[in-house]
Amino acid sequence: MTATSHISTAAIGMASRLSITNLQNKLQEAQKELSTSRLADVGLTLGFRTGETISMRQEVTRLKTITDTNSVAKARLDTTDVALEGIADGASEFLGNLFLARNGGITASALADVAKAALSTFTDASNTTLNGMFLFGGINSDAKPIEIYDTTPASAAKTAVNDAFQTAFGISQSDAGVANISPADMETFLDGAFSDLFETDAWLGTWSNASDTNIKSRISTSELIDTSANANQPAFRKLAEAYTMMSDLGNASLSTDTYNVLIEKAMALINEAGTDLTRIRTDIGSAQSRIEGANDRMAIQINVLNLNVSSLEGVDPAEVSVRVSSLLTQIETAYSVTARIQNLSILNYMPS
Amino acid sequence: MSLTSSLSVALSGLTTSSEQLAVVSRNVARANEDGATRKVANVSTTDSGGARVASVTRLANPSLLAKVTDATSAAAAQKVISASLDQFNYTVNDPSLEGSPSALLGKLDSALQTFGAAPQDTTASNAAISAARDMAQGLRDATQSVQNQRSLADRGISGSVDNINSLLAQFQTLNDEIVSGSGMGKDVTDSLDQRDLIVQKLAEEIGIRTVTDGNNSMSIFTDQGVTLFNNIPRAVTFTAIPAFGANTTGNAVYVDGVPITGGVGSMQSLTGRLVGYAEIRDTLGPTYQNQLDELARGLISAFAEQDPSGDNVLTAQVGLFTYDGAPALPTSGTVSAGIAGTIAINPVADPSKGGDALTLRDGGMNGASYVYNTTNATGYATRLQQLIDNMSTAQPYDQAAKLTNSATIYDFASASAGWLQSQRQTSTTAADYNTTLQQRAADTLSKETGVNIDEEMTNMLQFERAYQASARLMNTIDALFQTLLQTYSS
Repeated sequence: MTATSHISTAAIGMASRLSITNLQNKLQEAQKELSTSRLADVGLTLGFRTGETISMRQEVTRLKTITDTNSVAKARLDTTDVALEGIADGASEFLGNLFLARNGGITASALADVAKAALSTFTDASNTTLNGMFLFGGINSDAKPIEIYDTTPASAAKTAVNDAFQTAFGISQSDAGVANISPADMETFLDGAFSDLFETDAWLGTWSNASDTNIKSRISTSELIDTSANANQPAFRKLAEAYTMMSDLGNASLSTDTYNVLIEKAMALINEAGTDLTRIRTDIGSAQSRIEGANDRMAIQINVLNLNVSSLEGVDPAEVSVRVSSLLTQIETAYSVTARIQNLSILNYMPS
Repeated sequence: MSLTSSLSVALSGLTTSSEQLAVVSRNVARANEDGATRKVANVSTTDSGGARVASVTRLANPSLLAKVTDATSAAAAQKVISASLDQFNYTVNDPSLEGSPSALLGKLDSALQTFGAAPQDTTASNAAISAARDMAQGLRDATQSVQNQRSLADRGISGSVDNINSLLAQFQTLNDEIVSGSGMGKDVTDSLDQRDLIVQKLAEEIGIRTVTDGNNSMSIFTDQGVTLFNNIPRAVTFTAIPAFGANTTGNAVYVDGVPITGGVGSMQSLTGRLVGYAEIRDTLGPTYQNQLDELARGLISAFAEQDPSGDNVLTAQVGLFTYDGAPALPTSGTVSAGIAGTIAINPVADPSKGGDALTLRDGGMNGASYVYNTTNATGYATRLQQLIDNMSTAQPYDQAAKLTNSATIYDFASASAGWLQSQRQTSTTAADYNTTLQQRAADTLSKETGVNIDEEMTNMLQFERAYQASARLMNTIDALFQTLLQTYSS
């Protein structure tokens, strides 16, 4: 007998064992995919493209963080705008009072009180805080941007004004002798020594703790913009100058002509400050809209990226569930075939 | 022909049938044994006209066996590589778990962005430091894991070499038996099966070729032709290294002074477990380590403190991320081997080590002359924004990392993850393919040379009948003798 068999008993057993193991592995993967709607082993299936999904996921995280931090900048800008609006309203109201005073509608001492109140409101508004940060401090966000003028003992700013007045006229502002100051002298003083008190060096030494540098925020991956205003900007200095002028120099004893010089000067300053304020508010408004624009763009990017991530990593649930049920059928068939093959032996048909 | 000779012929039939039955029972007994081939009793006619079992041979198919051997070697190498890469994969893991170096970078970037939006916030500064710490830890862990795998591979080579030597020793015993047995005309089929089985086991360790000569002696060569066995086994030698670092180079495996794996030369084997281990230890492991090192170096450079004045009078020194060669920066565009294993947070910036987290915002980790925030403003974010920009600026990378010459840290990190996964995909696919190939070849071999119980049973019936017929013949001859004797006695 040299005839060879076509198949060995071991080969039959091995074939069904291997195919069942193989099917079971596939079923386990399919079940995992079905429950997560993602590939069972993303890295293995995608290969080098895994780098793509990882960097897309990372980009999504990045954009989400920027969107979150944008809300911080947005809140700062919104509050800044409200504060600036208050400052502008105060300024225009004061301008109205100046008109009245020029026409004799209110007395010099009443106007001085109004000016004091306006200065204090202005100072408060300039010192607005949000989450412990001073809005108008620039990057010096922990220091009060504008010192209070009227304090006991006298503030540095107040002392500087007193000294300048004393040096110019040889008397204090409250002295009755101010009646002798000529309009020309007053104008010289206001344009010279007094105005110098609000120039950069003096301003920073007496009035302001703010930084000239505005806070910069990254509002998208590529845009870095100013997202604050600071109290060193001209509008703030001009308003402080005008309010101080009327509250501290506007002695009732001044001659009418000299007093009018004060009023004219203050009106001019407030008008200029109004223009400057509008410019700041325009900048703030444009920063707000850039943030909104950036947020919108980032939301779209996030959507697109998420879609791409799921198209790479995701599986079609319908396809997977079809796969699961066909795998189950296959395994069942394999089981029953195996059982039958095991029963299939010539021994069962041989006489014992 | 005389009655006596008829009787002896009938007797030879009985003997032959029972010998054939003995072969059937040997076949049945080993039907499910690995590597067992079907034995065939070859019957020939004797001078006196009777039958005898002249020899027992086995069904063998050397060319199919060689195919199985090749596929076994190839599958073994790829299985080792893909299992090791699966371990590397834990450094990247599923993208949704966000534990890869790349995802950690993303988290660091987010923490810096949050800190940049609220530079006065100490919570944000601590969060940024802690994200940076996770980043450094992640790189150190990954380094550890890569070096562990290299070390395991080295031990794997050592185990594999031991196994090869012990298999060669067993091989010698069997080969000697076969050579002397065949010379004496003994039945050596079971020894042949055993010897083939050892060849298969050897093939798992290293790719081999076999040559059998006239006296049934088999010689074994590696797939590149280095002799492993020729009458006597050659000693396969290897010196293991106890622990691996990024700078460690493993030893080669030698046979007769020729490096067959893990060294240089034209005799390097191509397949087998040994080759898989060497691939992990000497190629894939070091390449991935280079990538981690380049990533660490990129981070250290991106966070370095430059001269704050911008006129480059002061030399740049390490910032938030430091390493064992600090404060000098590692050479740009060149792998600093093992730097990913020593990267850490600068203690000057680490609150848990008594440092000041705000140096991240203000600079000055290398002394007052490196302070960027000269006015000490709490809202100062320029340095932080600069760091974020540095991370998104392309840097030069070493070609040894096999990724790209120039990329941002992010792109480099995700490219590294992609590289790892593509290696994994390639080796897993190759392992699956070669395993299937091996199974198919083994299947075919088993079909051709294995035992089918049904067939053996059928043969058994036939031999049983032959036995019965011989016995009946003897009865008949006996009856004839009796008749003859009665005729003469009466």
